[in-house]
Amino acid sequence: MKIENAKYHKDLISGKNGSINCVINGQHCSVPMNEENTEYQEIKKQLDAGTLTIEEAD
Amino acid sequence: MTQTKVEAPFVEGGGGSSFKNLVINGGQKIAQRATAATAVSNGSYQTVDRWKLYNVSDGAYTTAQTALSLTDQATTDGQTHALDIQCTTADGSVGAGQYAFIYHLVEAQNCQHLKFGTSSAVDLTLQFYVKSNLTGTTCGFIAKEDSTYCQAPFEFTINSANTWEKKVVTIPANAVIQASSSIINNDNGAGIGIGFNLLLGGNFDNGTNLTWETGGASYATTNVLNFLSSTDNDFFITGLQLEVGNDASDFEHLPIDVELQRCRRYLQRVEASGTDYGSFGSGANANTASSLTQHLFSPPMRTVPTLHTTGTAANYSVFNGSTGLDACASIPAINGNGGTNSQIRLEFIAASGALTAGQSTEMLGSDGVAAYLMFHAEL
Repeated sequence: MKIENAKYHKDLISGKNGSINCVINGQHCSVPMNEENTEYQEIKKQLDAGTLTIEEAD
Repeated sequence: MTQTKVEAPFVEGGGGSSFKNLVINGGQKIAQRATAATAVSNGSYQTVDRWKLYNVSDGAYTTAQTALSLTDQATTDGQTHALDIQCTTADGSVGAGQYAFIYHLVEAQNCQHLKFGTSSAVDLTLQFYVKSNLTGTTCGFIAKEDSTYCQAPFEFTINSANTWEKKVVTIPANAVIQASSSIINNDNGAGIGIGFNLLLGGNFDNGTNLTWETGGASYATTNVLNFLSSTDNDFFITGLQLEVGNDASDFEHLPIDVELQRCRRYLQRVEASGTDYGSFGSGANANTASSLTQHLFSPPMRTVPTLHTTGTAANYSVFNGSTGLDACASIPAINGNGGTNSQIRLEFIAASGALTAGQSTEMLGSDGVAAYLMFHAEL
């Protein structure tokens, strides 16, 4: 899975990071930070492998 | 008046005569993402629902949903659509580690009646219609995804070029699939997969026909065609039915609403009209730039989904009575981590200062744009 331009997106209510905006295989996506979500699982895997970095939220 | 109680007939197999087919959208009728030819990215879903596409080779291919002619419908047991694969870049020299295949994943909790991991593990029978310009014997495979990974390749022969042919294969249970390590956990993860090889390197063609084996080397026997050997090549498939037992029963034609609803557990696409400002819902402005709305999923999805958009902020707009219409400055996003498989909170983002905090807002697709929100919870 090719993941590019990853950036955290803040929850407007809690102020915490709640999702990740990125481009996956050329498709613009907003990925919830939920352990059951397939794309989030892959993001974590690539983060752990050091092959992906995520920009901080605005 | 006398009434007679009629008992329903006992039907062996996958839980009765209804929903005996483990394959969802086996008739390729549903294509929520796209119907036209779309280039394949490795590990992605791009056209017909429930088909995951892999390509790690020097070749390339597109997939599309194609409608069958009345003549073809008559020769395919009434199938109306097929998955259409066209080679667009040839790879005539396949590396040992290269592969390309199409793959249908069945959710684990729909596989419990297969009783894998026990001495009662069942035999499986797969039927499908196939058509290609290439002829010869080639391979697909069934894979068990959960716990210990196993595969069973199945050979089939395309006898005549460019002709729809029906194929039936039965994969018997064996000691590998009966072993306790082959259990499929009863959850919403992947249970089994059905694959059709388009190109396969020597690292993966070490299987024995119709035989379950562990490891990752048995996706085929050595009888495997290279459908990406020439840009003249094509491969069409439809009418897939995988069922319990040793016989292929009649294909289960489901009503379109039922088939779509089954697909929507894994993908839900909401489209604006494309000709006017279509609505994605209403909500309230959280501040002077962001509007929040709730989106409900029907049916509940497999997991909390990922949101896909067009990727162009101006394709989306927000409207309220006092500030009027504003094109979005950023593409819509999931807001917060409180979403579930039945609801999620979305944020539409206008330019800073464009909105009035606290007012109600409608979220829209922009005028004349085929904007969409697509929620993806595929395996």
